[in-house]
Amino acid sequence: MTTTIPVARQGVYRFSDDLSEDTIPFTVSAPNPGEIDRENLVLRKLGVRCWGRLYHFRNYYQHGWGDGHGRTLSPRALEIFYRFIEEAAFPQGINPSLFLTDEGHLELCWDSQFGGAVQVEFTPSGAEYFIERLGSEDTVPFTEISVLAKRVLA
Amino acid sequence: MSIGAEEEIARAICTDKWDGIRLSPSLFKGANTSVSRLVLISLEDHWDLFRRHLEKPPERKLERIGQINVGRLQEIGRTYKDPVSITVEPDPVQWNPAHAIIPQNITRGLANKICDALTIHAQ
Repeated sequence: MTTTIPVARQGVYRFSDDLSEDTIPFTVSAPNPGEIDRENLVLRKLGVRCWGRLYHFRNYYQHGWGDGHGRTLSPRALEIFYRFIEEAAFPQGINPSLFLTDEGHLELCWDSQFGGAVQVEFTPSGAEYFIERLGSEDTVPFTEISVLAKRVLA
Repeated sequence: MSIGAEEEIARAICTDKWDGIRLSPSLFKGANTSVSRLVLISLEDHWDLFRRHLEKPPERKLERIGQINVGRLQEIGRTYKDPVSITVEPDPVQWNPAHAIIPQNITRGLANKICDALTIHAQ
């Protein structure tokens, strides 16, 4: 016995092109390997405020944010930021602040336990730092991020 | 022609530069920093203007407005350890006829001094 599969009728309604199945990518987003560990690292070292701000910067600030010139968060700058906080041993009660620069860099600021502000801006090539107490301002390549993490917290 | 030392200028402070505790020094770091002239548009009207044009994405909110006198800004530049001759140049744009820029490259250390001198307005 043969069964004939009914031919699908042409529907009365049609999806517009941007909603048709062909244009919707059927993918499931899984976190990158190690992503959960990194989220935990940010939570543990910088607290929930910085974690929430990083989430916003990563997910909502697309190219052209703000006045039209804001750049999306640089993946390399983010990578260097993670390396830095892996190495950094923040004293209790430091309560850092995290910002996004117009160039798409992350900027971490806190008040040193020895007095004065400390600021580190993570760029695609390394980091720029400022230690108010010493009046020092300089840049380091990404290969010296571990050294910088010790220097700015010493 | 540069804006006179007697004028007051404003800078929008949005979520990316303010976390409720600290102000980001990158607000004034770098070249061609956008500011707005209070002599042309009042501070009250700047709240609406900035909200309409700068709250993109919607999660980015206008949190504060920083205000500083041009003469004070120039004095900070002059007296910094590596002196900078700061000017403010008119740069009207379609959405903001009061728009102006600080063309000089401001270092992080100097940007910190400028941020410390700002009058911060909340609404």
